[in-house]
Amino acid sequence: MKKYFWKISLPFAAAWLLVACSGKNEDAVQPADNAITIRDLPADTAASMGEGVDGKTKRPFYTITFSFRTQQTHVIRNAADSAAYLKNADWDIAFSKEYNSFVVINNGKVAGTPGYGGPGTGNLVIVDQPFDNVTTAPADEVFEQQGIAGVGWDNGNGYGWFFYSLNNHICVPVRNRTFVIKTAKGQFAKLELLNIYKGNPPVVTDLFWPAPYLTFRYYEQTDGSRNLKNK
Amino acid sequence: MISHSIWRTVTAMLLLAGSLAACSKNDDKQEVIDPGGNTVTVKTGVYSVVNLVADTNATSAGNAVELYYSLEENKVIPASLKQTSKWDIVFYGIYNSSVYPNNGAATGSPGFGGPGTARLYVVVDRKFDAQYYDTTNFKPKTLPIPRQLWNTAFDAVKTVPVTDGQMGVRDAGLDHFQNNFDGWGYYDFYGSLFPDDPKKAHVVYAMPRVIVVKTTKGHYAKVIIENIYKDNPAAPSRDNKPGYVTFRYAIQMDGSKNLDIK
Repeated sequence: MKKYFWKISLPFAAAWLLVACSGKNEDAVQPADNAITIRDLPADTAASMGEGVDGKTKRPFYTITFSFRTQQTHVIRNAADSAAYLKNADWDIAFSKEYNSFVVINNGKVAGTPGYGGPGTGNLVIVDQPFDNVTTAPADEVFEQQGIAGVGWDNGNGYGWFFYSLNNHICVPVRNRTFVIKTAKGQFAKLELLNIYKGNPPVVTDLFWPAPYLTFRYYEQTDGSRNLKNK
Repeated sequence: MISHSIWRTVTAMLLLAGSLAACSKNDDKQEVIDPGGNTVTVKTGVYSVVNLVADTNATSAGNAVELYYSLEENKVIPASLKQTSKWDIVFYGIYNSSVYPNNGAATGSPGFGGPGTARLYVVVDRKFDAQYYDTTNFKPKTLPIPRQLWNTAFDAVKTVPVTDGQMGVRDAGLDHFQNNFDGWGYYDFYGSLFPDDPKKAHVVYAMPRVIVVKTTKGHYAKVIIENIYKDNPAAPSRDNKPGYVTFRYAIQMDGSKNLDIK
């Protein structure tokens, strides 16, 4: 257990540094962009699906939670972690399942998701538009009719954030797709999922490229309105 | 009973012929012209389709060769007619596991942009599911799933439980696999149900779940998939051949939503 803890916590310490620095690394370009980019958030990099992967153990992936407002993350390794970190509205998205690739909102009513049984009221709607172009959150009816709990593999039906060929086992993020999110506490936000591979490379051909390191961009509107204009 | 078993044999043979035609894409002579007007539709009733040959060369590497089926005519429709209203559902995606309705608005379906207006809806009863399924974590708790549950589930759907608007154009596929949709089968992608048996990875287990379909002509039907492996094995593994779909359906031809059909 201790070994796992260090394997996980060290990358997380690194993540904190990256997060802390990310604001200052932005180029001072026009116009000001209020969206936040998280680069290379290490998820459960110590797990693997198969045997014999160097430095990894075959076991289910630990879920990682993330708060838009505080950028706080938690690793859910066991029942105690679940009890401490999942059943509250302090996180907005979680990276779960295979390679932490299934991105799920915090909603207490959706069975099979990390927030099940908690107070979260999150929701998610897919908008096939570039991130910057999505400036208003859809109406409540749209969330009611089209809302889904999470996005992962897109088998072609349009309901996911990446394509995945089982031929080469490489995830290819879907471009120009934005996820409008109702946060755990009912605010509106938008999310763009950019990569699962370290360094956010434009193209990956190496199956063993370090993963999962999540790069994503988001904007949360904290005044309660539907305004999602980030620029 | 006699007619039932003859039906099966005849159906299977027809299907085999139909699917051969559908698969011989590269044959120049196979320019199928829609005869129009010549369609023979089935009567209200229950039909069994056994070992329907889909893409038997499919791997988990990508989308299988699609298989189009007309519930109205109880036969395979050639791929050349994919942008027509001749078919109702298509078996597509990994191992033909994505069942799309023929609807022009169905993103990802070969019928996208076409004239089809079919819709479908996966009927879910969590209490019923709890007999064999962990309905919180979405994985089987009893394998093999008892066969009689297919009969129970099929008979239990006596009408269309939703409005047309609530029926979708999205595919019915693998249950809660990298999404939060109820599907018709459980995909044990990583073999986690049988961690010590590599032949159990990448196996699809059909579930006793009914898919209600509104056909392109507006009739209602209920479909239940029994297997996608050859000869309908109760406990499939990598030793079984995928691409042989066995399913049962009932169709109501009087225009009503009555699906209490024997």
